[in-house]
Amino acid sequence: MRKLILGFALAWGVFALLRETTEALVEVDAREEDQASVPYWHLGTPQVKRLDRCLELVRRQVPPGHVVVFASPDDARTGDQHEFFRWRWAAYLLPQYDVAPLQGPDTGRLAEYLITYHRDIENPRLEAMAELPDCRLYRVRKTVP
Amino acid sequence: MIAALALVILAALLVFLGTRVPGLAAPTDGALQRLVIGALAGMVLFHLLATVLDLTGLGWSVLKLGAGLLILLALFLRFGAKTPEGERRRLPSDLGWGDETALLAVVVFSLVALTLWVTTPDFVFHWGLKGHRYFLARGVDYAYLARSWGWAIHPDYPQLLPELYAASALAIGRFDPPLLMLWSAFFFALLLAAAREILRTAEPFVRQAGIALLAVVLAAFAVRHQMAGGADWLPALALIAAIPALSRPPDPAADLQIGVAAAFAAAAKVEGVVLAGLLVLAQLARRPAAGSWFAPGRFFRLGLLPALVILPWGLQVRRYHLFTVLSSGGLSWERAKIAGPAVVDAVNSPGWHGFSWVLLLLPLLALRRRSRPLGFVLAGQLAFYLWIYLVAAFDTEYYVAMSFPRLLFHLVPAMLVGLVPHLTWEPPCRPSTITVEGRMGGSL
Repeated sequence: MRKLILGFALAWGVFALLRETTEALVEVDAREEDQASVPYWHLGTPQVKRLDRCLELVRRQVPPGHVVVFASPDDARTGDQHEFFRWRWAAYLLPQYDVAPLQGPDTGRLAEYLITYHRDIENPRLEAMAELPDCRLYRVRKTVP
Repeated sequence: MIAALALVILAALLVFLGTRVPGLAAPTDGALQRLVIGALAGMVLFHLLATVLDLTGLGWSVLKLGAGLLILLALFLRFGAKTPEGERRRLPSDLGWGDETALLAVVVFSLVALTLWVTTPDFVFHWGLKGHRYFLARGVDYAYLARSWGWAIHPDYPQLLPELYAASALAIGRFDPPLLMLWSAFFFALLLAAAREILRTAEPFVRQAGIALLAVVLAAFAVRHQMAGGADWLPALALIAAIPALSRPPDPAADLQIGVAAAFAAAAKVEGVVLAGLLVLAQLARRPAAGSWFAPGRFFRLGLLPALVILPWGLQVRRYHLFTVLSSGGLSWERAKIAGPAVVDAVNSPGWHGFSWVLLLLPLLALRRRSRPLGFVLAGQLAFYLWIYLVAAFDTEYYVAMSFPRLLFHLVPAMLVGLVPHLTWEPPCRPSTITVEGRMGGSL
């Protein structure tokens, strides 16, 4: 009886592994068509690649070690946290910089550069440096000219 | 290929170093237990070395880390006790279909992990980011962690995993996420090796079915729940590696093994610090096989490594104000009413395929004297997780759903392994284990 229980559990476990692996591999094959929202992004998906292409502006124009503020669209609904997760992905993709959120207690004081992603920001302290269709890079002046 | 080789050499060096730690192996330990506990000891020593280089401001490099590890190895080889020749070859000679299934599960998980599709989001949000940052900074970058927005990367978490990632990047010459997923495969393989050692006295069918079951259950969950690249393997590994020492009367080697497992858990995650405390407490509460209950040597072997891990971590967290205060609202019945159903939902999480319900059998561990210490540790750790849900002033339902299925990963492997011998168990055949059987257990 005890062997039967163990055997049944093992068969169920093998079935579980086969099912999960198959589903994962199907999703890997469809990775290029992935349309998941920000909290469910995976490494290597088109959404991440688009963000990475935008952040290339920073890598080309800003020396490592500086504070770069990342700004993306506000959440459509409270609690979505899409803006938060876009910021975290930007930080992962730019490890050589201190990537700050737009709404932070020290952001205004410490900001040296600003990269916007699908978002427009107007501020007299901003000096445009470079742009791509979806994003713009600015130098942040310490004072208003 | 060369990069993968560099990673393998680093892991092999840590394992080799750890297996040479004097007094760590007990005569009754098989080769797999020596390998597993040695691997943990090697990683703890690596963590301590990285911490010393950090605290002294020397920073990390291949040369400094490599030289430090080799000096430690030379010291152990020179002054450590020699392993008797006959005890070196206790590799399992009874490999069977279960072992092959387990190996296949590790390979399947590794291949899927290499695609990065099952990489945990936490690799992006903090474990991997920290590893990359430390690689660039050649050390733990406390200024980066201490930024006002640093709360998002859990700045107060222990550093072992990011350190391993950074050291791997130093060895490879670049930060290579797919290759870093192999650390998870390594932890998975060690976890199974530890389980195989525990099951060695079970009858052949239970031994083979048990190891295969554990492997497929963990691989299925790891694939579904995206566990590659995360730190939850480490507390699970620490707990299962401690079972052999928890299951026999405390002796000096067992005390040191518990100390190593506790230090490893504490170096991995904040909840690992609690696990470390439970492991040490469970061991300390038992009457030793020989000598005084509270002999200074016991405290030294049990407590030195955990203390060396926890104290510098605590000091740095305090020094840089990194602790992200748990927003505690006190025990609340309202929160309990939300947490209860949420916990049930989390246990029913699809990735577990029902196997996490095995924790309901936890009281069975109290039936046998040798499994009581494990039962105590599992119950304590589970109670700690549930207590956090009852006091944390967050969205309880969301908090439980986001974390509890993953936290179960710390407990389910040890529970499964602890339970399988209850199905059938052959009495241990080694005289040294039998003669002291009547004294094990102590107050637990």
